[in-house]
Amino acid sequence: MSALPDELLEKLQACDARIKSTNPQQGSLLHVRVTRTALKQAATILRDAGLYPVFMTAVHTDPHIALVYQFAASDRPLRVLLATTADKGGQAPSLTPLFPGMQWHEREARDMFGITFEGHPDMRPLIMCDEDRDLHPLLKDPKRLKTLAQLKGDDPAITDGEAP
Amino acid sequence: MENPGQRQPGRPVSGTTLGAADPAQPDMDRGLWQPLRLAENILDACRANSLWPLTFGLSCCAIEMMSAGMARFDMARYGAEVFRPSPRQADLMIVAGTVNKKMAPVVKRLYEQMAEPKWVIALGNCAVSGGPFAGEGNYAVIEGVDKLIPVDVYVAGCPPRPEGLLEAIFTLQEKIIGRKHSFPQNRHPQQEENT
Amino acid sequence: MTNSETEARTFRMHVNLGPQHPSTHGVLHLELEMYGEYVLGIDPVLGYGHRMHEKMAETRPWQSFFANTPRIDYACSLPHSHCYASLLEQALDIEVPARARSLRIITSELNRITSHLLWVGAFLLDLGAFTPILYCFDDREQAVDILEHITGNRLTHAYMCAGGVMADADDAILRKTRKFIQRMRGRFQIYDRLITNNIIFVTRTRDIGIITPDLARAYGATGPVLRGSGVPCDIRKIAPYGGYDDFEFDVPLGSNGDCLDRYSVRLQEMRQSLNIIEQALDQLPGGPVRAKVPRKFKPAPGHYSFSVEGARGDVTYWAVSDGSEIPYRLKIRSACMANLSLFPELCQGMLLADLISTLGSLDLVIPEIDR
Repeated sequence: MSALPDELLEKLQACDARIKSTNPQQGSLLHVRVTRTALKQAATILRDAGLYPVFMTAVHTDPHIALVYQFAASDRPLRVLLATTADKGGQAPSLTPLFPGMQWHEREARDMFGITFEGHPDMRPLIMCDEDRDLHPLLKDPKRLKTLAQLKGDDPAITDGEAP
Repeated sequence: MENPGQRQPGRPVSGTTLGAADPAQPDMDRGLWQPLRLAENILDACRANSLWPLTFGLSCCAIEMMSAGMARFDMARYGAEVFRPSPRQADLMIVAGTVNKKMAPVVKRLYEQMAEPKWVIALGNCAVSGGPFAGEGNYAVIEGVDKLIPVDVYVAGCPPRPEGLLEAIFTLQEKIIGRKHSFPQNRHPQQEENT
Repeated sequence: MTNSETEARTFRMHVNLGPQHPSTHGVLHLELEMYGEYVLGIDPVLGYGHRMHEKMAETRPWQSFFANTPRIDYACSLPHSHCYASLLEQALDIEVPARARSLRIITSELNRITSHLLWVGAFLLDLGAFTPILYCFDDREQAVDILEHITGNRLTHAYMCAGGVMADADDAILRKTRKFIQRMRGRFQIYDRLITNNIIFVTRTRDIGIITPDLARAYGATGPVLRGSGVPCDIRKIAPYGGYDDFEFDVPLGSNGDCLDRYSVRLQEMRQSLNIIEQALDQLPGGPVRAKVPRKFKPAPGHYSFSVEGARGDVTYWAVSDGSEIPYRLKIRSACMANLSLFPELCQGMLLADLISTLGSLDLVIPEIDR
């Protein structure tokens, strides 16, 4: 049985997270913003709560690439969106030791954005061919790059974060 | 205008690379070589009516290729029944789906592994010209498989109906033999009046 | 050289399975480390079907992406379109008319049936049986006829749009759908006699490729792969969308997590889909099939997420909008990618024939993984 949204909320507060809880059409969705250092701790809480990894992706924002993870419960309408940022050099901790399913998502994020994940067992290209391994197609043109503040709308959990 | 399906004398149409007027080939319409022409005609008719396609479904069009091989549309009645996975045993490569940069060397190698005479049908918009993925910002899709290998018949559609693939087989048979529907039971009654 | 040394030298092989192979369901390339017939390790090589869907989403308006959604998972394309349409409706606060909701469910469930029929045929073809695929495609053609009449396309149905569906279905085709339901219900006995009770099929699938619930959950595997292991996770039940909570249907579960269970789950799901379609036809309201929508879509800045149950599992779309009419980022979560990612861990020590069986039972569509 997965944890209830309120229990999860309490545990995630311990990670110094900014959380917003919404109830869109499909049950509760927790938006959780953590610092890069607290990412693994938050992910461990979600794993112990019985959630499965839905996806891991990135969004090219100014000045740092935002990383977004979604987890879902398999027995209740609960989804958690975990957001953080990569550092200046495009590095981030890998969640593969916690969720083996993240391995391929992180390889794909490397292909598309050039992010390197510390602790990832195998950073070969997943989708791009060898000659395009450094193409990073989803990085944006500087003219069209936006900051997190321009993208957050009314979501207080997503702010122009630090990126130590 | 001449009937484009009629064979031009002295210009064999079987195969893709040996088809052009090759000075090393004997001119099979003259003198002692004429029996070879008869043999070649018979062989062409055999090849056309028993094409062995290579199982080469890449994406969506593969499903329509499978449907064309199944009971309702039934490619088997036109000879193209035996789908061979090995390129050594196939003589028709139906490129059904999108060819991208990573897949391109594989397509080329498979084509080169096939033995002569061999033909290629480009099935679907992606194989013809890149389809819905061609255009600005394209970094991965090859815009048309004819950029890699010579194509004999193009079938447009996204995906084309299985009848489109059947028509492609007929067009290819016409290209090989020189006439459409060479066997009596396949002759369309309306075409008989026209020819 | 001793016998065992010769064995060690000659039995170890590095074999390439694919990307052109009759049973890789598209362009999957597996690099196998083999010891004789036993698989020591697998390294899937992906990317042969990469078609830049996420990049294309960032270069054209929101509505234009409906041309891409059917081509991501082409075997069961309507749930993808449903997901993207619902995401836009959520973002733009558009209400879908009741008739459109029912038509969406009818066509999505028909598409689920065609997808599962395609899978049953292809799976049995992998195992070496040629007859079932002919029956499966026969039934599939009946359903595809109906879908073609309603949506206009046999395979890549671009039928959903934000606000409803593209066209209405007339009474004649709905009567034909009822006849199809009757016919299909009678056909399951053919599949039972030909496949389910076939000793060769059972021997090749029972206790093969057992996926435990923990393994599936660790990799994010969903759909029949997870339900075959006994976990009742179906988004249509857990987080109903688009009107699914108006209909009664069961979620079939397996017990063992082997290939036979995944096959049974999919076969039962087809029956449940027929029930859903029948209820939807009984309750089909009248009215318009498309709501009025703005000419240009400009969702407010922020991010939006929607999840549906595709034929292969959890399909989630996550979009970021910067307020303009072109998406800033669209993430498409493919069910097959998670299902395949558990494959290397699952297959160590298996026989090659069992590997083919297990690969087939995962129901993969590689261009969905590569997007």
